[in-house]
Amino acid sequence: MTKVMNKVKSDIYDTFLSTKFELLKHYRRNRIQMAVLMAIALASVFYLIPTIWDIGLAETAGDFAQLNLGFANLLIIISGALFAGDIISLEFENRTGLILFPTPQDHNSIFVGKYIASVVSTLSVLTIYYLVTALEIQYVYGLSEISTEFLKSYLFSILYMCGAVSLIFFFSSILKGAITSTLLGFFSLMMIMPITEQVMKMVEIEPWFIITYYGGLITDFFGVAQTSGFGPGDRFEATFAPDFYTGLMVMLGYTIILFLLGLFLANRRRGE
Amino acid sequence: MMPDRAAKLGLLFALVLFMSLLITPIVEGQSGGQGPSFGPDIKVEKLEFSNDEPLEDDEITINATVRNNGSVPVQNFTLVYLVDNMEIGNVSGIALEAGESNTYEISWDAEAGIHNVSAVLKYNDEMLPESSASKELSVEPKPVGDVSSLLISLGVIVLAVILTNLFYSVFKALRI
Amino acid sequence: MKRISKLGLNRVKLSLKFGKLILKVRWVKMGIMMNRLSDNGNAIKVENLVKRYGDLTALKGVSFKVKKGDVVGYLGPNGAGKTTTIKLLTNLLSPTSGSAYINGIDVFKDPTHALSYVGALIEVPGMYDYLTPHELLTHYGRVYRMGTDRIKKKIKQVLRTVKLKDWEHKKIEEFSTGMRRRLAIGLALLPSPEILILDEPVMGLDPEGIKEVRELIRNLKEKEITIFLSSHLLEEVSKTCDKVIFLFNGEVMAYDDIDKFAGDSQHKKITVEFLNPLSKEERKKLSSLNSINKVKVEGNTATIYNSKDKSNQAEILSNMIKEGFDVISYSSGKQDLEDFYISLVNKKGGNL
Repeated sequence: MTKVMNKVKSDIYDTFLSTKFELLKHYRRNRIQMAVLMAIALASVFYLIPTIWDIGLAETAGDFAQLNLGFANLLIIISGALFAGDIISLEFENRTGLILFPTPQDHNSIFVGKYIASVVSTLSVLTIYYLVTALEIQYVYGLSEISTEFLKSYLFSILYMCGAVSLIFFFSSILKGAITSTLLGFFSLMMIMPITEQVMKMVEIEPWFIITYYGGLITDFFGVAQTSGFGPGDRFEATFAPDFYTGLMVMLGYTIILFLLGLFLANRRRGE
Repeated sequence: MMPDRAAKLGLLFALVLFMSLLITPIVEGQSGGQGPSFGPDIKVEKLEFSNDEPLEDDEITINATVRNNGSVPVQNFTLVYLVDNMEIGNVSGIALEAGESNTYEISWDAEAGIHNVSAVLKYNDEMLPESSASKELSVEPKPVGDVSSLLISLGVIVLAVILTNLFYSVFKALRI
Repeated sequence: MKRISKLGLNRVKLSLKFGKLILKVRWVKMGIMMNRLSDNGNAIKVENLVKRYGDLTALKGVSFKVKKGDVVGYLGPNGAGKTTTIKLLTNLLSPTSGSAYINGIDVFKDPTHALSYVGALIEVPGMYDYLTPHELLTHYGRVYRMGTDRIKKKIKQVLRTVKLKDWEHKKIEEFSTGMRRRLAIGLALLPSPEILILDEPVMGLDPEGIKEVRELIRNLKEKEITIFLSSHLLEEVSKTCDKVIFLFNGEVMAYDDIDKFAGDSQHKKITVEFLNPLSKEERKKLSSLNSINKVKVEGNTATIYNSKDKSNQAEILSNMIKEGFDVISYSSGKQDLEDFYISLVNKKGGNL
C-alpha cells in the first residue's frame, strides 16, 4: 500500500514538474506573451474603435459582450494550436531529451503534464480576454451589468477550449511533424469541421457531433439567435440550433476521449 | 269626428314608433353596429397577460375583456388576437347583453423580442378597428443553459485527468 | 500524576514509532544491499534480450554483464543493435523477451528505481534552443528530487566538468554542436550517477569536439563511474575503454579486455613488401601457401594473417622465397582491434 501511495505521490509531483517545465518553455518561446497580446487586442477592438471614431458603443452590456466575445472561438483555436499543436510531435521530431533522456520520471506523467500545461496556457489567455471585456463592461455600463450570462459564457468557453485542446493534443500525438500537427489542429477547427457542419446542414442532418457546431453558444448566452462556427452558414442556420445540454455532452466526449487516446498513443509511440 | 281622426293618427304614429323601436336593434345588430346614433357600443375594454415579463417559449395567457356598452344585446361577434399584426387565434360566437362584459383568453408560446399584442372584434368577416385594444409585450430570450451544469462538466474533466494519472500510477505500482 | 503517566505513555508511543522507523529504514537499506549483493557487483546485467520490430529481429538474445567501475565499449557496425540495447537498458523501449538489471534492479519491472543510478546520453538528443543550461539542469535536478541548494551546487559542478561554466545563463541556440554534446553529457552527470551510459557520444562532432568529449570521458573514468559506451568507431572504443563487447547483427560475438584481444592476436599479422605489384596468379599462389589463413593484397604490399606460432612465420618467408617472390621487406606485427573486428565480421559474412 505504501509503495502504491509513494508511486502515486511521485507521479503527481512529476506531472506538476512537467507542467511547470512546459509553461516555462511556452514562456521562453514567447508564445504566452504573443497569445496574451492577441487576447488584449481582440477584447479591445469593439471598445477602442467606436470610442476613437466616436460612433457609439453597443446599447446594452449584453450586446457589447456578445460583440466582444465573438472572437472567443478564434482565440481558443489560435491559442490551442500555439500551446498544444506541437507539444508531443515536436519532441519526437527533434528527438529531444524528453524522448531520449531516461529519468526516474514516468513518461505518462510527462505527457499528462504537457496536456495540463496546454490547457492552463490557453485558459490563462481566455481568462485575460474575458477579464478585459469585463473591465470594459464595468467601465461603460457599470459593475451590475456583468451578468450570470457572462459567467456562463466564460464557463462554456472553457469547456469548448478543453475540447479543442484535446483535439489538437490528439493530432500532436499521432502525427510525426510538428508543423503538420499544428496546422491540422488549427485548420480542422477553423475550416474542416465548419465546412463539414455546413454540408451536413445542407443535406438536413444535424451536425450535433461536431465540436465547432457549439462554438456559437459562447455568445448565445447573451440572447441572440443561435449561430455556430464560421463561414457562410446563414442560409441553413434556421434549420438547426445547437442544444446546450447536447453541447455539454459533446464537449465532455471530445475532451475526455481525445485526451485519453492522445495519451495512449503518445505512450505507445515512445515505446516504439 | 275631428278628435276621432286625430286619435287614430296619434295611435298610428305611436304604432309606427313602437314598431321602429322594436325593429331597430335587430337591424343594427345585424349591420354590425355601424351608424353612430343607433349602433351597439361594443369593444375590447382591457388586454392583460398572465405574465408581464415572460421568457422566450413561456406559455402566456392573453386575456381580453369585451364589454357591450350599448343598450341592446349583441351576438355573433368574433374576437381576434394579433401579435405584431399576425393573427395567433380567435374566439367566435361572442354574444353579450347590453352593459354586459366578458373576458376571453387564449394561450401563446412567447417568442423573444418586443411585440405589439392586440385584440380586435370582427363581425361578418369585417374587422372593427375602433373596438380593438393593444399592448406592448417584451419577451426576454430564454437563458441558455445553467451555471451548475457547466461547473459539473468542468469538474468531470478535472476528475478525468486526475483519475487517469492515478489509475496509471496504481497500475504501474502494482506491476512492480 | 495523570500528566506524568500521559507523558510516559507518549514517550512509549514515540519510542515505538521511532523504533518502527528505524526498523523500516534498516529494512529498506537491507533490501538495497541484498539487491546489490545478489548481483555480485554487476552494475549492468543483460540476460537473453530479444527485441523484434515486426519481422525484423534487432536483438537475438543478447547477454552480458558489466562490473562496477569498468569502462566497457559496446562496439558494432550501424544497425547491429547497439542503440536498441541501450534504449532497452534505459527503459526507453520494451523488450520482446529477456531481462535487464541495473545494480540488481529489474529495469522493466522497477524502472524508476533502476534508472535512479543511471545517467545516459542516447543518440544525439535535440535541445530546447530557447532555454539556458541553468533552466534545463534546474528542471532535471527537480526531476531527480534534488533540493534547490543542491541543484545550484550541482549545476556549477557539472558545468565545470563539461567546461561550460561561463555558459550557464546563455541560450542553448548559441552553442556549437560540441558544446551541446557536452551539455547533454552534463545532463547525464547531474544526478551523480553510478553508471553512465553513452550512445555514440562523438557522433557528428568535429575533431576538436571529439577530443573534448574523449577527454571528458577519461576524466570520468578516474572518478570510478561505470561507463557503458556504444560506438561504431574502433578508435573511440580503443582510446577510452578497458573492455569491449563486439555486437554484430543483434548478437554478442565477443566480450573481453581490449588488451587481451590485441594480446591474443600478437604475431598473427605479417606485412610483406614485394619488389613489384603482384599479378593475379601470384596472389593465388601466395594464398595457397602453407600456414596462411588469409591474404590482403594492395599493390606491392600484402598483409598475411596466420596462426599464432612464431615458427610459421619463418616457414611462410622461406616458402615465399622458394616460390620466387621478390620480398624486399618482411615484418610481423600485433593485430589491432580493427583487424580483430574485421575478421569477426568477415567470419559472419557481413560488411562493415
